[in-house]
Amino acid sequence: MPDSVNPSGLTAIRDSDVLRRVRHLGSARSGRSEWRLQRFSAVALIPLGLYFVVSVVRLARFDEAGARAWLAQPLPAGLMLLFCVAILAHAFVGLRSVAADYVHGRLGSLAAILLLWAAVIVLGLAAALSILTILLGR
Amino acid sequence: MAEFTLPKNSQLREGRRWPLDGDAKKKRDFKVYRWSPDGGQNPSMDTFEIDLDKCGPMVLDALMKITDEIDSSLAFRRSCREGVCGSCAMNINGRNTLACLTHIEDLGDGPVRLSPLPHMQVLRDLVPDLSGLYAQYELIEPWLKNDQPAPDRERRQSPEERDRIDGHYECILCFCCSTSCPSYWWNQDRYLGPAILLQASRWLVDSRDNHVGERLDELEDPFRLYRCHTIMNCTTVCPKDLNPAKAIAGIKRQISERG
Repeated sequence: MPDSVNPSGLTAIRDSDVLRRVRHLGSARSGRSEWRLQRFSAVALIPLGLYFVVSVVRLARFDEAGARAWLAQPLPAGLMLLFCVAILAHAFVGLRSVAADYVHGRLGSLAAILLLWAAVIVLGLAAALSILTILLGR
Repeated sequence: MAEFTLPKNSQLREGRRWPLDGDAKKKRDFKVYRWSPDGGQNPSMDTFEIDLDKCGPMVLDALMKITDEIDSSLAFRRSCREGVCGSCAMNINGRNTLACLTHIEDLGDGPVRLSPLPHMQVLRDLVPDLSGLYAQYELIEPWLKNDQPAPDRERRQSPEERDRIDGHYECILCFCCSTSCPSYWWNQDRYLGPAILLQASRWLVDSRDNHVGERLDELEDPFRLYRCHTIMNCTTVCPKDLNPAKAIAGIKRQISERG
């Protein structure tokens, strides 16, 4: 009987192959910057998030013109821009991590990454352009 | 993709009941996972009734009583019966631990459920296939690597340097931690898991090893290391009270300190 159909032959093939499978394509030698981005953006979001919540609560008393006037100042506009960057970066690394955990297979993970990039770019651009439009008074 | 239901061939059947002969004051049901590669049957939970007055105090004693007196075909691993070899690691009432260190009395009322370490291929009954874990252990090259010529005597180490190995060397490789880790469940083909990363850390903190950089290179990978999300199941279940989660955090910190 050839090895490929003999159960003990299959076991022998599997045993000799297991280290090769575990070594896979080797270490990617990356992950540190993503891990750091996750930590740094989390720290940045503590003051920026507090500032965002307090600002939104205060803005509830303003009409649209008042809110626009507030956001046309450099400091609120800058902090709002930073808040958008930090929260999108944090959401991106977090969701990419979730995708790595749960979405297996080359096609699925590629689709997930592309979708995430697209969402981050569209949302980021929309947020940045909105803030800049008001700041520059157009 | 993560699996939320068991595959068809893993779904449990109600198994056979092995009733006790005669009356017993302290009767306890042991529900034990049974599966054999022969016959193509789905796994089942057999129920063994055990008289605790005629059985040793540990879960492993009950398992030995089953193979000795009730059903000799039950397969499980065991060797030292004192928490040193790590062979009898299994899932007892939903928690990975060593059968030899678990008092039956501590398990409360109701039946005792015994199943193999979760999310592993089962070879038979309570025996999981650990070959992937052993290969991952080989991957981290768990031996002293030092380019300096070997001295005439032992390589010296200060007491403080020796202390850093504490909390690492005690690991018995029972794999209760790795098989309790959801990250390891979903990505055990690529994530090294807490047991192996604890051992990787054991060589990273050893002052006599001077291949730290190469070791960190091999570990710095989104899957090998960074699938750890500090879920901490590893530290919760470790029957030797070790802290693999802390060791993994140490590896991440070392990688971060490189620049």
